Amino acid sequence: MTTKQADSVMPSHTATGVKRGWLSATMHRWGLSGEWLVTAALIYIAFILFIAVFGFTFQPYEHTKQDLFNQLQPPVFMDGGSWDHIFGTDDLGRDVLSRLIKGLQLSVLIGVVGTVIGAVLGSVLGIVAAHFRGWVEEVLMMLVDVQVSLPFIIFALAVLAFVGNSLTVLIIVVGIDGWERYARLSRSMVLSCNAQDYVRAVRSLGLSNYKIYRRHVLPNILGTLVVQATINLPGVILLESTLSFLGLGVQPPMTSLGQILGVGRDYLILAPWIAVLPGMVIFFLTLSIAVVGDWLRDRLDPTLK
Amino acid sequence: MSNTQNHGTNADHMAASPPLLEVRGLSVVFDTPEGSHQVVDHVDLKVSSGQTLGLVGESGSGKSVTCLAMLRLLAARGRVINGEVLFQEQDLLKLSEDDMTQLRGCKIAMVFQDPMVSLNPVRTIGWQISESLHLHQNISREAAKRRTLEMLDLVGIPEPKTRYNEYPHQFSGGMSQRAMIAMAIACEPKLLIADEPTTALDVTIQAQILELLSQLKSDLDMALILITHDLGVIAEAADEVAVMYAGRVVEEAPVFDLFDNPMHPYTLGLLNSLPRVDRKVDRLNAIEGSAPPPHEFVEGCRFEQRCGHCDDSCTGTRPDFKNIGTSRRVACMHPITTS
Amino acid sequence: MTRYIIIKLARSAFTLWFVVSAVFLVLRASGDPLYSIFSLGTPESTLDIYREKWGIDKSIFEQYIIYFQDIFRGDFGTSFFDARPAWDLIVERLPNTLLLGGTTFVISVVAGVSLGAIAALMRGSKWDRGIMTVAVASFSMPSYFLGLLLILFFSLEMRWLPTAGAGTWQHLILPATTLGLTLSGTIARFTRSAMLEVLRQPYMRTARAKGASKWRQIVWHALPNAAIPTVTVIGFQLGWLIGGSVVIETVFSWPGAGRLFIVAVGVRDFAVVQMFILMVASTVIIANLLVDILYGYLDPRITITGIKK
Repeated sequence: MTTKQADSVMPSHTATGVKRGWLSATMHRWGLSGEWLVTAALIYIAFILFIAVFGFTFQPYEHTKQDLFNQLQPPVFMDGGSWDHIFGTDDLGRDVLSRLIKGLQLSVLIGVVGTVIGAVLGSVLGIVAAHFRGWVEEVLMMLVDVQVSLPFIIFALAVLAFVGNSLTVLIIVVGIDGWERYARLSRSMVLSCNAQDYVRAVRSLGLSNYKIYRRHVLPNILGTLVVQATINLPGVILLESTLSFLGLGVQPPMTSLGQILGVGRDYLILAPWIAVLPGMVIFFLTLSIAVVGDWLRDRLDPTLK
Repeated sequence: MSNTQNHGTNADHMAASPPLLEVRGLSVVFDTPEGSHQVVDHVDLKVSSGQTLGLVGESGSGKSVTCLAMLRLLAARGRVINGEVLFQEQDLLKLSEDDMTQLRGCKIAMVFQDPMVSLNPVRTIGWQISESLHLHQNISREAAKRRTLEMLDLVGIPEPKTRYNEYPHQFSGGMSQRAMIAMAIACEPKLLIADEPTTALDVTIQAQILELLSQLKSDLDMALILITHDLGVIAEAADEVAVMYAGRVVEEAPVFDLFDNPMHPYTLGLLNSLPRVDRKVDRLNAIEGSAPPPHEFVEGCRFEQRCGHCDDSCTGTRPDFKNIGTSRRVACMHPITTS
Repeated sequence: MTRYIIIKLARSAFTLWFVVSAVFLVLRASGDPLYSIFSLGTPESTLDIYREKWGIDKSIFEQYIIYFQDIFRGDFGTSFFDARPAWDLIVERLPNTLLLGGTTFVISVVAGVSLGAIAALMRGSKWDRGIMTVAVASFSMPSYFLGLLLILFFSLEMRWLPTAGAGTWQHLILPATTLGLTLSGTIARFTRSAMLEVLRQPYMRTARAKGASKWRQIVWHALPNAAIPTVTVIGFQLGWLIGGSVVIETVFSWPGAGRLFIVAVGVRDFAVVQMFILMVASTVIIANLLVDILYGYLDPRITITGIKK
C-alpha cells in the first residue's frame, strides 16, 4: 500500500522540472493535471456563480422593464442587433441579458437550496432509520418505494398546480426530489459505520448518541454525501427549469432560465435567441456540474456509482 | 532415497528429449502512467512431461506474470519485450492469436488462485466444464455431458449428477477448486499451470488438492507448473524448484537438493523463516527488510540490500548463473557452500 | 415461493394505495376547485349544484371512501370539463403515448446497451471517449430544450420534418429522438460501468485461459453478468421515461396522455389527474415487479427470498 502511494506521488515531484504555462501550473497545483475538461467546467461554474451573486451590479436594465418600441430586437451578433441590447430583447421589449442574469440568479438559488434541502432531509431520514432499525427502517423503505413508483416530475406538477406555486413551495418540491438517494446512502453508510469497532468502543465508553454521530459517524460519511449532492445538483436545476418551462415553476414577475425558455418557445421562428441563449446557459451549467461531479466521485469516492 | 533416484531419472529424461516447455530469456514490461517497469527479467524455465516444476517467490516477484506471459494472457498494460516460450519446440510468442486461442485450455490449461471468483457466477458448473470440451473437441452435447460427469467424479466431487446443474456460489472453496481443475484437465492438456491453487483454501483441503494434482499429473502424464509462495507446498508436490526474487530466477534445483542445501542467500532466508519441527527455535528468522517494488529494480543483485553475504562485486552487474553439477544452478556472486 | 410473491404483491399494493391516497389528499386539500373552473361572480347557488353533482360537497373523508368504492367498481371519476369519464379520456390517448414511449424505449435500450458495451470494450480509445462525452452531454441537456433545438433545425430551418402533432412516422422522429437521446445516454453509461466491472473479474481471465474466442468471451461470459445491474437500471428508467414523455408530448404537441395530464393539471381537473397518476404508478410498480422477477432469473445467486448470498 505504501509503495503504491509513493508511486503516485513520485512522478509529480519529478515532473515539476518541466516548464509549464501559468494555466497548467495552476491546474497542477489544484491537482488537475491533464484534466482540461474539468478545468473548463470549474471555470464555467465559477463564472456562473459570480454572475449569480454579483450580476445585479452590472445588469444593464431592470429585468421587468418593457420597451414596446423595441420588441424582438436581435442580439448584437445578428443582423439588426445593437449594443443597447447585447443579447436582444424579448416579445415585450425586455432586455434578454438582464433577464438572463436575473433568471440565472433564481435558478442557481433554487438549485442550491433545493439540493441542500434534499440532502439534509434524506440524510437525516437515513441516519434515523439506521439508528433505530426495526419498524422505523421499514417505514423509510416503504417511503422509498413510494417515491420510486411515481416519476417525480408528475408529482411535482400536480403539487404545484393544486397547492400553488409560490417560491417556497417550489423550492421545497424541487428539494424533495432525490431525497431517497441520500437516505439509502446514509442509511447503509451509518449501518457499516456503527458496526466498526471504534464506534462500538466509544459507545461502550458511554458517549451520548448525539456526540457519537456528531464526532465519529458524520465526519466519515460527509464526503460521500457531498459528492452525491454534486451529482444530484444538475438534476435539481433541470427539474426547476422544466417546471418553469411548463409554466408551473417560477411565476412572473420573477424569472428563471426555464421560464425565459418557456416564453421563447412561442417565438422560436421570429426570435430564436430568446430560447436558445438560456438553454445554452443551462446546458453548459448542468454539463459542467456533471463533469465535476464525476471527477470528484472518481477522485474521492470510487465506491459511489 | 528413492527420491534422489527419481531426480536422476528425470535428469536422464531431460537429456534424452527436449523438455515439453522451455522458456528462454523472457522479459515482461508493465506500462503505468508513471513509466514502464520491467517486472520479469530474463527468466529461463523448463519443465518436462510427468514432472512438477515449483515456482516459488514472494508476491510481486513475477511468478504469476511469467506464467500469464507464457500463455499470452497479460492484461493490456503488460507486454513481453524479449524471450521465447518454446512449447513442443514451437514459440508460443510467435503464434497467431487464433492459434493461441486454440492452444489455451486444450494443450496448456491454467488453474487460478481464488476458485470462488474464478468461476463464472451465472453459469452452471456443468456448463463451464463442458464448454472447455466444446471449445476444443468436436463433441456432441451428450458426450460432453458424460465426459463432464466423469471429470467431476475424477476430481472427487461427490454426486456429480446433482453438482452438474449447480452454480459456483453453491460450491465450497475446495469444491470450486476441484471444479476448476476438472475444467482445466477436461481436454487432457500436456501442461497444467496452477497459480497458487491452494492459497485460498483451508489447510486440510490444501493437502487434498495437492494430492489430486499429483495424482492427475501421473495419470495423464502432464507437466505441472505449480506457482506458490509456500515452501510447504513445494516440499510436498514439486520435483524441480525455481526460486524467483524481484523479477528474476535466482536459484534452480531439484526439490530435495534445494531444501538440504540452499545455495542462494535468499533461498536460505526463505527456508530459515519456516517453522521447523526437527529443531527447537525461539523465534522465526524472517528476512530483514522487504523486496523492492518494480520501480526500484537495479541491474545488480536485487537481494543485496537484505543479504548477509554480499560485497562490492554484488553491485552494478547482474550475477550470472553458475551451474552446480548437472541439475542445479544459482545466480549469486557468493553462493553458499555447505561444508 | 408463493409466500415471497404474496409479500411482494402486498408491498406493491400498499405502495399504490399510499400514492393514490397521498395524491388524493394533496389535491383535495388545495381548496375548492370550482373557483378556478368558473369565472368570478358565478352565484354560489349555481356552484352548489355542481358541488353536489361532482360530490365535492361532502367531507374529505366521505369523498375518500366514495373515491375508493368507485375505483373498485371501475369508475375513475368524471372530468370537470369534458363531462366524460376520465378513463375514456386517458385510454383514447394511450395508443399515442405507447407508440412514442415504446419506440423510444426499444431504440434506447438497443442503442444504449450496445454503445455502452462498445465503450467498455474499447476503454480509453477515441470511441470510448466520444460515446461517453455524448452520453454525459445528453443527460445534461434539458430535454425540452433539445426538442426545441431539433424543431428549430429540422423543421423550421431545413423543413424536413413536421414541428408538432402526430399521425405519420415523420411525426414520431423528433420526439422519439429527443427522449431517446437522454435515455440511451443514461443506459450507455450504466452498461459501460457494469461491463468494465465484469471485464476485470477473475472469471473473465478463466474464460480466456480456457481458449474462448474474444467474441465468445463477450457474449457468453461477460454480457450475462453485465446484464444483471443493467436490467435494474433500465427498469428504473421506465419511470423517468414516463415523466420525460409528459414534457416532450407538450413540446411537440403530441396528442398523448402526458399532454392531457399537463392540460388537466393546469385547469385542476381532479379526476383526470388522479386517474393519470394511478395509471403511471401502477405501470411503474408492475415494471419494478417484472424487473425483480427478471433479476432472479438472470442472477442464480438471488434466492427466492431475495437475499444475495
